[in-house]
This record gives sequence, C-alpha cells and structure tokens, in this order.
Amino acid sequence: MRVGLFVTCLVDQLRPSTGVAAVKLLRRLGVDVVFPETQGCCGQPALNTGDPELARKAARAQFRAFEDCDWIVTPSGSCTGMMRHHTPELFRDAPEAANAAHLAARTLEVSEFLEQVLRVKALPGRFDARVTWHGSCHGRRVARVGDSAERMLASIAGVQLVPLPRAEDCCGFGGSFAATFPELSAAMGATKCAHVDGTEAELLTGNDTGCLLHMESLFLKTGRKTQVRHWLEIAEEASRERAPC
Amino acid sequence: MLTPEGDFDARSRAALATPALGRAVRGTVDRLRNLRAIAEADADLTRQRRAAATEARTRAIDKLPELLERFTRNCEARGGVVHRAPDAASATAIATSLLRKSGARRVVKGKSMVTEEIELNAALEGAGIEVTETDLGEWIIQLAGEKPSHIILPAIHKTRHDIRALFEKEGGTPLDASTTTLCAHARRRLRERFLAADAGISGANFAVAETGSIALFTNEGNGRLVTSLPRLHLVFLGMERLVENFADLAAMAEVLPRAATGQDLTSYFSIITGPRHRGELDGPEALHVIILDNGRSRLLEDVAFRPVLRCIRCAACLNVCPVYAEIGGHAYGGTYPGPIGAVLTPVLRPEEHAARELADASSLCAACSEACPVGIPLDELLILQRARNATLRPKRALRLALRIALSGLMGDKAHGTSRRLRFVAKVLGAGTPQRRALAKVLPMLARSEAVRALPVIPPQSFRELWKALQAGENTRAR
Amino acid sequence: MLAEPEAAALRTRFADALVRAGGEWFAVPDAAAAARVVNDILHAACVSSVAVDDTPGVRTLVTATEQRSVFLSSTVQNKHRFAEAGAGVTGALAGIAATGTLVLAASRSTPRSTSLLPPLHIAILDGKDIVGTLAESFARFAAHALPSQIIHITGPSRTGDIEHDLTRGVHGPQRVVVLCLTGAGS
Ligand code: SF4
Repeated sequence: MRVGLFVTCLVDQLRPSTGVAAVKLLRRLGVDVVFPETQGCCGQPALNTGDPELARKAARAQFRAFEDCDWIVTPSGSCTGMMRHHTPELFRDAPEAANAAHLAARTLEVSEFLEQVLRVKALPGRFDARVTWHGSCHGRRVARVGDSAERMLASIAGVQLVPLPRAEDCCGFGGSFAATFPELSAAMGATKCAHVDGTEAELLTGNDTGCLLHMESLFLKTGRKTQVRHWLEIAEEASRERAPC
Repeated sequence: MLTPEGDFDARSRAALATPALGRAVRGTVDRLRNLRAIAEADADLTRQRRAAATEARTRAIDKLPELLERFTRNCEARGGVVHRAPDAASATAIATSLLRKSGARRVVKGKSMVTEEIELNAALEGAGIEVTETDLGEWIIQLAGEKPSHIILPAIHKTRHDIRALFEKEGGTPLDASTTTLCAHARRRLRERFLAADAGISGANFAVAETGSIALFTNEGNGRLVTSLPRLHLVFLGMERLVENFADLAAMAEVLPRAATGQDLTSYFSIITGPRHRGELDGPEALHVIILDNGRSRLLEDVAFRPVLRCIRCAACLNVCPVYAEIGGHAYGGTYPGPIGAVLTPVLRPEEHAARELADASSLCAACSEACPVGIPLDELLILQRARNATLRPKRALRLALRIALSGLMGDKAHGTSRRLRFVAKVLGAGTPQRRALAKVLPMLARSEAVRALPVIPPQSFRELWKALQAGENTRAR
Repeated sequence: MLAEPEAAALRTRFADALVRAGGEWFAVPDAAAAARVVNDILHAACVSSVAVDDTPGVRTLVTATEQRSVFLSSTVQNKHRFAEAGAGVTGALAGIAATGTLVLAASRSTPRSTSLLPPLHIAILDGKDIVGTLAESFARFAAHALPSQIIHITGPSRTGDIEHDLTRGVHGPQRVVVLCLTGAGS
C-alpha cells in the first residue's frame, strides 16, 4: 500500500510541523508514507478567485504527482473537499474526467484514513489538555469528512474534548476572503473567539491549517492565551514513546 | 437597485463600525436558527420534505412558460386579471394606472420583496397615492425611510428603542419601549389605515397554475387584512413563483414555514382564487395579478444559474450565514441580502460592476447551501459567478501578482516556486523593514495587520524538512 | 367514517398542535355544551358585541344578553362594525391535526372579517372534520369550484418584528379558541 502525503501549501510554507506530525504518526501506526515532491496546490485558491482554468492546471499536476499512490492523505479538510468534490466537477465531460474521479476516490483526510483504511479505534499515548474543536467548513460540507477527526482526537487518553458552541459556523478565514475583507473576516473570527472563550479550553484544534492560523492570529492580536494546534500535532505528541519512569 | 455609496467592502466596514447592529442581528438569527433546528429535528422527515419541495419547484421552473400560461387562463376564468411586466418600470406603471383608474388614493400594503425590487412605493407616492406598509417590520422601515435588511424580518437591525422613537414621532404621543405597547400602538394606527384603504397590495408566496390561485403565508394577519378589506387587490408575483397544483402547494407548505421561522405552519395561510363572489360582503371586488420578469427570463435561459429560480425566499440561508450575522442586510446594497442576495443580485443585474462583485461577499463556507430547503447550491454558484466576473475584471497589479504566484504553485513547477515563495515570505515576514515599507504602499496589508497578528514564518518548509525525515526513516526504530 | 379511537387520536394531535401554536382548546360533547362554553368565554372576556357566522351550526350557539349584542356577519355592510366587535364566532370546514390548523372558506354566510377583525376568535369545529394533514384537507376541495378565499388559521396572530420578541395579536386576533364537538353526548 503506497500512501502519499499531500501536505498542502499552507502546511508546507507556514506550519511544516503539522506535516512532520502526520508523517511521524503514520509511521508509528505502521504506514510508510511518502511525499511525492512534484505535488503542488489543490487549486482551491484559483477556483475561488475565479480562475477555473488555473485550478485545472493545478489538478493535472496532482494527477501526475500522485499517480502511483494507492491513497492520498492530507491534513486539510478544505483541500480534501477540493480534490474530492470540485476537481471532478472541473473535469466533468472533459477527457481527464477519469483522472479526476480516480484522484477523488483516493483522497482522504488523515483521520478518515485512520478510521476507514487502518481501522484505528483509538490512538495511542496520552495528552492531558482541555481541548475544543473547530472543524473545517469545507471538510464538513464539501468533503463531508464527518466527525472522524473529532473521534480520533477524543480517543486519545487525557484529551478532554469540550464541545464548541456553533462549531459549524465559519471562523471567517475563507482563503482569499480573509485578504479581501480583513475587518469582516476578523469580526467573524471574533464571534468564534467568544465561543472558544466560553469553553474554557486551553487549546483550540481542528483539521484546517487556514482556519487555525487565522484563529491564532486573532488570539495573539487580542492577547488571548489559548493555544492553537492542528489535531495531528496533538495525536503525534501523544504517541511519542515516553521513557519509563 | 444598488445603493450608490461605496462598494460591499466599504458598506460592510461601515456596518462593523456599528456594534449594536451586529449584536441585534446576531441575537435574532441565532434564535431563528434554534427554532429551525427544532422544526427540522427529524432528519429523515426533513430530507423527504425537502426532496418533495425541490422536485415540485424544479418541475415548475422546467415548464415555467406553460405554467404561466395555465395560471393566467385559470386566474382569469375566476375573474382575476393578469398583467405581465417585463421590468420594474412597466410593473410600477401598470399599478399606478390601475389605481388611478379605480380612483384609489389610499393603499395598504402587505410584505412583498418584489415590490421592494421595483421600488413601488416611491413610484406610487410620486403619483400622489398614499402607501402604508402594514407588516410591522415593513412599517418600521417605512417610518425610518430605510430598506428592509432581512427577507422575512425587515427591521431585524432595529432595537426597541429605535422603534419607540419612530412610533412616537409618527403618533405624536409618548410610548414606553415594551413590545406590548409598541405592538398595540401599531395595531391601533394601522387599523385606521386598513379601514380607510381603497386598495390593497400584496406579494405572493406562490401561484397555483391549475387553479389560478395565489397563496400567502403570513403571521401577523396584515396580509389577510390587505386582501380582505379594500375593494381592489393588486398582487405582485415574481415570475418564477409558480407551482403546478395544490399537491405541490402542500409540499411547499411543509418546508417554507419550517425553514423561515421554525413553525410547522404560519399563523395564516390564505389561498385566494379570484375576487369576491357575488353576494359576499368582503374581499376585493377586483383582483389584478402583475407578474414581474425583471431579469428572470434571462435566468431561465442560464442553465447553470437556473436553480436560483427555485428560491422560495425563506431566508434560511441568511440566518445561517456568518457574514450576514456580522453586517446585516444593508451592506449588501441590493434588495436581496445574504447568500441568496449575493447569488441573485449579480445575475439579475449583470451589467452593474457593484452587483457582480457581491459574489465575493462570502467565505464559501457553504452553510447556506446546507440550510436551503430547495437545494440551491449557493456556494457553488458564487464560485461560478466569480469565474464569470474574472473575465470582466480590470487586471489590477495586485491581482496579477497574486495570479503569477498562484500559477507557480499550480502545476509541475510547484517545487521551484515553493522555494522562491519562501524567499519572498522571509523577506516580507512580519516585522521586517521591507514588510513595513510594503504595508505603506499596499493598504490591504496594513488593514490586515490592524486586525490580526501575522504568522511567523518558520525557518524551513516541509519540503526542506522532508529530506531529514526521509534520512531518519532508515535509522529509527519504530 | 373513522373508528372512534382514530378520531380521538386525531383530536388529541390537533389539540396538542393548536396549543403549541398558542391557541386554546375545549372538547365539548354537543351543541348545548358548546353554547354554554361560548357564552362563558364571552362573559369572561367582557365582550359587548359579537359577530357570528350565518350558518346553522354557529348561529344558534351564541345568545344575546343584557350586556351583549349579537349580529350576523352576513348582514354587515359597514366593516367598522366588525372592528368594534369584541369577538367573532365561526364554524370551520376542517381541522388539520398535524399543525392544529383551522380551515375556513369565505362565502356569503361566512365573511372573511369574522375571524379577522375582532381580537377574539372562537371557532366551532366538528370532531368528524379533523383530518391528518394539509394535503388531506386540500383533497376536500374541488379544483373547479374553489371559494374566493381559503383561510388556514394556526393559532393567534403573531409577530417577531420587535427584537424577535414573539407577541400576539398585532393585526389579527390575540386569542383563538377552538371548541371541538366530540359527539360523545349523542
Ligand atoms: S436560497 Fe434557499 S435558503 Fe435562501 S432564501 Fe432561497 S430558498 Fe431560502
């Protein structure tokens, strides 16, 4: 089983630790994950800013990069949505429709891979923290990832997962949206921050690096102490072998 | 019509600068969402109801010309008169001339988004006809000289203190700000108008082709008063609001109130078929239906956007929209706010740049599409509209730069681009002098920095770290 | 005709839905009992003038007293009379159990205003006329002979236009009382 990591642009450039965590966790679970180096972007920023042609170009490169992988796993709910739903749409009735369908069928968010392919019931190790979850809107509604990441997270001993009120609401990131309307994006984030405050969680986690960086940037700006980490980093840290005492 | 002041960006920033607005809107949409969640709690039943409603609406839109023709025939067979208005100007002209001919001077109006779309009140007032909005929210808005900021709760942005001030000014008597007092005041004042009115104007939630009937879902009862007391009744019907028969109407009644207010059925649901029959002592003596096109035919031809015509204006998409919750409806600048407004306004008014740009007013979280009872893929239509806009947009330098950066990331050269991008990111990272210089010339950058702490660029990208990970693989014991 | 247990189940569903929508429910065995309840409600609400549907089932239920005048809706030429009435008493063609909805139709003997202008609406509903759903109620109308207005009433008039603070009676009746004839007395 050849499993390719699609690391995503944001993780590659701004939060490589999430990619490293994904690789280490998967290895500890016995998966020899590879990183096809010709991979690029899923194409979502192009599509969302009105350039479907460029998005197709991105997708074609992905077809090639992940050609020989049985599975494509990614830490992002949003990119999963792009590759699973929008990419086939972009190639509907096009010669590469089969390639798009093939890409879509193999793409899984890491937690889905753990649950559906590895049949993991509970993740190893321990992580003591009061945590709340903000999932990716695209992961939820476009990729339909479901609650697998939350389940994986909750399965770690010591993790106290507190439900976030209105967890299904967008945090205001939205990719180009945050850059086009910074104040509006921050106002939406402020509403999300207030909900996070209410949970008294010490740590906010999720499966979309865009949302998490956005929330972190607002926490820092407003002097909040809440930590922000991708759930894979939590899972990886928990699974580290600890010296016996 | 779009308000001239500024663009969506400017208007939304103005809305954010009024914190009371966001508080009022957020509080109310939150309650509406909870009510809808209860009404739609049975997921299987909700799915079935939505499927039936979507099927009925899709079928109606697919044979719209035929249904319009059947509706017209059947409505006229029951004594109604049907008019077709290709645009706003002709619709208002038909109404004005009908009112003039019947000598009507005083008009009471029920809630109707179509009449907002054609700015009917201004036209009638210009013709010397007194118009009173009688839906409580619409009356508040009329007294304030504003436009509705929500499809079903037009005064959602007003606090009770705003409303008291408006009512005191209108009635000339001091009032307290309790809901009971304010409602009693409205009942008293508007009752006088109802009893004195020569004509009633209403919208229509649906028109039934098979029977020539008009269906109205309301809660306050003003819709019933408008259609029962005056001797003349004018109905404004959006061209797309047809259903084929009563069975389809029943399917719509299953979803509309639940999606809109979380009710199993609205307090009133009236089906009007023609004017009063001989010997009846109330009800209008004459009934006219004015069917408005105003861009809808074009939408019918536009295969991709055609599903928008299914819309039943329930406002569920507004109530779940995180953008709408922060800024309310006026920031959208058009008649229809929220996600449906962002989708509909650009296609109804494609020649207006400001209208087209509303497609950007979304984070594409897709909460709207999930809430829509007739399955309109609002988020995907926004993406499609953005693609259409891109072909028309002036190529500004910033966009071009973004495009070059993006196109480098997309494709087989991504690896090299990643390295170059990294260099740029490091040079321009938070706190560097270059970055400060750049922020001076790029206002968007400065605006971003004013609201958020920019991310610290890590020393190595994942691509660079992968080498080490690979090397470690062979040596480490699992 | 429905067997009594099914009819009783429909009545219960109707009553529950009506009360949820803010309406009031009375089950009465027969017309004589209905008359007593109607007159008690009118007395308790201090109603001095009552508009009444001109139908045999309703006409005879409401009695004039020293404090109270009763007029037939079908004779009213001036709509102000309705506006001044303290209550309107109507029949109903049907009741819809799923939503607690009354189905009325405009006609010469049953004008629209009786259930609309006075602040209190009392409706007499025969338990046999309660159906399950809106679609079943629709099936009772012939498409070619529809009344000029079919009116579905589900509880009192309500608005949420002031800070979404739900309030009754802004334009239509503040109270909707349904008297259901169960036929248990016959
Ligand atoms: S788009 Fe859908 S959710 Fe929005 S108003 Fe129309 S029908 Fe309702």
